[in-house]
Amino acid sequence: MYTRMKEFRARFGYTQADLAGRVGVRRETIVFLEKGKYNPSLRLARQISQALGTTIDELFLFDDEDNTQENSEI
Amino acid sequence: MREISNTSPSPQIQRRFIATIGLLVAAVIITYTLASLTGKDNAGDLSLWLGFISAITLVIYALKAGKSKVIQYGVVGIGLLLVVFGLISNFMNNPPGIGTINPIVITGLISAGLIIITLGVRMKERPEDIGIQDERSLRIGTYGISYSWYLTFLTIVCIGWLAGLHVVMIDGTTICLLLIIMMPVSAMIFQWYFNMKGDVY
Repeated sequence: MYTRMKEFRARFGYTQADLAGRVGVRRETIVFLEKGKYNPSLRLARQISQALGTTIDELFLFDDEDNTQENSEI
Repeated sequence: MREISNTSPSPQIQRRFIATIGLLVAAVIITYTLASLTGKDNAGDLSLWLGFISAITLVIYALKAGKSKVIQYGVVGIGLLLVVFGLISNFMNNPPGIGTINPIVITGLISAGLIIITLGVRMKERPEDIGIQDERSLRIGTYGISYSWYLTFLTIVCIGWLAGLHVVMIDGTTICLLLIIMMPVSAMIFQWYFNMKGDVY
């Protein structure tokens, strides 16, 4: 799983600690989310996407997402 | 000991903390009283075990409650108490009101005391948000305890199997002490591993 959290966070000028405080999690959780090492719950994914003014779809990308899109196009 | 930043626990956590201390102290007193009333020579042993478990429970609870000077000094104080009691028990054959104590218990008391003192002194170096229980820390905590439970179960099965084959003969006190130390330590090791890894999967 890849995330675009860092990119969106930079747009708002939030630090990892700021974002963690906004969604009520530990800063470590944001660190591991950005590294793609932690799979968040749907609730947390929604909270983060709302805090960054975007959608879950735009924020979190999965490894097989390109293949899925290609298959759906076919 | 260096200065620590005060992120005092909320009044609710403070009340729970005081209530926990009260309950643990009451448990030790009640056990000692009940054991004394039975007239057997196990009052000291029982209260010592319960006191030992209570001290460790209290420290784990305190470390999770948040960071403040009071908690830090409290944790170090409990550690010192265990070490001092262990040393007194070591040099006195029959501590007053306690009776004879197994040498393994004395080793456990001193070791646990030293670990608790180290944890208390190192509180400053822990990250600011360590006390927050978010979904990731809860998940890691739960999995760490589950893995620890499986490990303990396997250990008991192995000990039982080896004892059944008369390969090793371990007395009950040693097994109890082994399990009391192994369960929290293995849970902490698993939790540390999952924390480094990022997730439990």
